Amino acid sequence: MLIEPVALSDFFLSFFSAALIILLATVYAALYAWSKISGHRKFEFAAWLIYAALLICVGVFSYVNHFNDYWLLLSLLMVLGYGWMPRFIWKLCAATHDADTHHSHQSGDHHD
Amino acid sequence: MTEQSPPRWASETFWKKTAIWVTGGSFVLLVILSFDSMKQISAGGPRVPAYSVINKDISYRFDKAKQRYQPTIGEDAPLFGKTLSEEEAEKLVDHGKKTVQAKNCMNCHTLLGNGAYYAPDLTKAWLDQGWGAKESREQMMVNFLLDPEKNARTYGSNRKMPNLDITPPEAEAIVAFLKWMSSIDTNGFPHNFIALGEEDK
Amino acid sequence: MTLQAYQKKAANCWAGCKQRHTELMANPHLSGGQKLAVHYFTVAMVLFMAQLLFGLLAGLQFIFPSFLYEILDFNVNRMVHINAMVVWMLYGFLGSVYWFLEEESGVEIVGLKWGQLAFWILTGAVTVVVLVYLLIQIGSGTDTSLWLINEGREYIEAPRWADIGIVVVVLTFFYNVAATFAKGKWSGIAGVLTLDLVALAGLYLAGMFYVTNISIDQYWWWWVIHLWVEATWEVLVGCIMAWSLMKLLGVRRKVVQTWLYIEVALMFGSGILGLGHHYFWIGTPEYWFTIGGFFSALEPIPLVAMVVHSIYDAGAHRFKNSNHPALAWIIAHAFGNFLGAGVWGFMHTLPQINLYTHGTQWSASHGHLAFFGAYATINIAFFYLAAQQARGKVWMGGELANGWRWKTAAVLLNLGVMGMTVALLIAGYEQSFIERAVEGSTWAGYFAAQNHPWFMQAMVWRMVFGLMTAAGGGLLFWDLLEIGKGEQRPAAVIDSEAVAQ
Ligand code: HEM
Ligand code: HEM
Ligand SMILES: [Fe+2]
Repeated sequence: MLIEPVALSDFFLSFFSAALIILLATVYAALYAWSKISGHRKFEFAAWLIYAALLICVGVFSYVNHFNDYWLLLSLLMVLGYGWMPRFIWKLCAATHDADTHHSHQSGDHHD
Repeated sequence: MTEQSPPRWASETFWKKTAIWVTGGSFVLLVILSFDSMKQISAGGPRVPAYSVINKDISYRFDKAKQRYQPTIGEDAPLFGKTLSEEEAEKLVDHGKKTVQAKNCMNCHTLLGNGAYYAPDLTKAWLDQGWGAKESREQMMVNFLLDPEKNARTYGSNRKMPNLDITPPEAEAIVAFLKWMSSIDTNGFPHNFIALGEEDK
Repeated sequence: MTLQAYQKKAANCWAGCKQRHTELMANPHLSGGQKLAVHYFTVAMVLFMAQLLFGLLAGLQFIFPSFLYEILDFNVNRMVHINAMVVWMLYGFLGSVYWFLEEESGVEIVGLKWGQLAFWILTGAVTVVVLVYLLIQIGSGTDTSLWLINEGREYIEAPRWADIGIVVVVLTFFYNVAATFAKGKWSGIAGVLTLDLVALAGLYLAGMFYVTNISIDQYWWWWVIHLWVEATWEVLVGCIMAWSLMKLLGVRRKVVQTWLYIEVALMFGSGILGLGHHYFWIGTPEYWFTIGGFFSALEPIPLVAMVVHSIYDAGAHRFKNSNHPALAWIIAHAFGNFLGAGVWGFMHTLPQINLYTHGTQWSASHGHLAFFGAYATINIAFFYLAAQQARGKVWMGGELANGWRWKTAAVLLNLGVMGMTVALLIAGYEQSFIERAVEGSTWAGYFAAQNHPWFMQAMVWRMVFGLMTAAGGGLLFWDLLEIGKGEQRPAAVIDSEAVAQ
């Protein structure tokens, strides 16, 4: 079998860590974004703290789901992806909205 | 002020192209995989047996090499005592499948785990120990389908299947369909299911 | 009530509807397409109420199995419940597109007459289908039953004749959209929308044929269900959102369109192959474990991105807006989509755990939060935008007359669905444990799980929160009929980007 199912005793851990991965990823990204908007470094610090918790969840999740072989790639993907994504989304937000801040009178109805 | 355009990687055209390529690529892959899957799940293919499998004894056992449960096909065990040709078997299963749809079974039961959750999964219904013994199973199933209210086994839940005006030929066809469905290789779902006749193995 | 009194009441009600319809057709604030949209929205709301009613009936049967036994059995109630849902959401989508088609293209709708005709045909057909579901319910095991009564395939039960009718109506709709854009302006939103509609309609064809082989049956059935809700519907909602955000927050078109493309790339990039999470156990090959697992694990990413983006917008625009109820529901959409699809979806999407959760109340828990969070919310938001315009672009900011009504409705609906979701989650957890894992999904194992105190209590709590949901739904309906009436203040004007720093 290509997978080894979660053990009965680990059901809760599997659900819980899975939910936390997505939730923490969002909190992490939000804190990161907020640190940029508000300019407060303490939010960035908090973001990293959350990311550390995220790493633990990925670890637990990978362990109880018996990831081995190429399934470990998924763990890696989550760790790197969720680490990098908030930065990328932030940059994307800033870059796409950039022109906005210089043209304050273009209306939404403007067609290109 | 001059129009300040965003960097390339954040530009509209870049993302438009990315969207097109990603969508196209995923779709092409899906189509290729679908061709392969169709080949593998056609009746008579490696994963979904031909309809004439209803002439055989079917069971479900733990496969040590694969580390999961797997349907097994054994000796001759014709359904209702009649050995059917491939065409006859297909016709019977087809009638069963059509009846399952027309009676809207899927809005109470799950089939292959999909459907509603008001009544038990039917994936391995043919193999369920609730039928008591292999010898009486076919007749019990038909009787149940013809009058589920009187033959109800609610296990104390009081939840009874309604009478769906199933005719005797339809009931036999449904049993054939269920028998055939139990032979599909579902990658080990359901796990831990002990089939009728496998209790002591 | 005597029969005569009843007849009189019905006649009054009918006269009231006609009166409203006459008023609608004379409404000077709405364009032709917008009037058609209001038709769609009205039927959508009626069907939403029907969905809630039949959900309550089905839910009650879990607790009192003899309730309506052999009169309206569980399978009938459930079928009406989920069909009403799919149809009201599609009505909402069609209405939303008709709503902004003229503004977006800059010209009047081409072939509006046909669109109107299609609406009445579709609504007539939906009525007939529902009556047949309720009165005839099931047929014999023949093709005739599948053509005339119901097809017995979850979510797309509509009989074949209705399928064909739906395709004809959708083609008319598509003609309206494509011809109008072709005559007017093709914006980025127009392009994405048109292609997405082609895909959405094309996928429906995958659910329109009969096969004996149930593995092949379910293979294509999932193309319709999954590729609708996790791909094409998400993108359709993306188009509607893009347009709404320009209107509501005054975000610039270029920004909105870039993000629409980003969303398409992320949604389709994960969602199309994420389809594999339905191919673990239906007879399909083992490679779907890997493909389904990996790609569906990526599906939450666009949803996370949207939440982050909305935080950016909140920072940049400070949520200045001209329609508070609509914005509240858009926020509910961002969070609901994220929680229901992203979090709840990811929790059970890997084969390692789905082996046990597959086909339990776990799926129902996820299904409720995802459909409500992603699609009910955005439709409701749009209904509020429409109500504002229909009442003459009136004020819908703070200190609204009877503002308690929309707020209470929103709270009851969101809390109610969340409560149901949690109740079903507990039931599903118990079921996956006892039925699936310990008892190996036998008939006896199934009932062992159903009779467990956790499960039985969860079913009661589901009803409690279901009633809360239904109360919220009723209040919402009332509010949409009344909001903004008699309001004299004009809507706040949002000068786009002027609010950005
Ligand atoms: C708005 C988007 C979504 C909606 C409306 C939705 C809705 C649903 C519904 C109604 C079902 C049950 C289908 C049935 O009746 O058998 C289902 C099943 C499922 N969904 Fe979603 N879903 C969404 C997004 C997602 C996402 C993003 C994921 C994964 C990350 C996901 C994972 C699953 C899985 C694995 C199942 C199968 C459950 C089983 O094995 O029984 N869904 N979804
Ligand atoms: C009055 C509130 C509601 C009640 C009491 C209710 C009850 C039910 C019941 C009893 C089922 C059948 C589940 C089963 O087969 O065991 C069901 C299925 C379903 N309902 Fe509801 N429901 C309500 C509201 C909603 C809402 C607001 C939505 C979404 C907008 C919704 C979406 C669904 C979906 C998608 C399914 C199919 C789930 C699946 O197959 O996994 N329901 N509902
Ligand atoms: Fe899916």
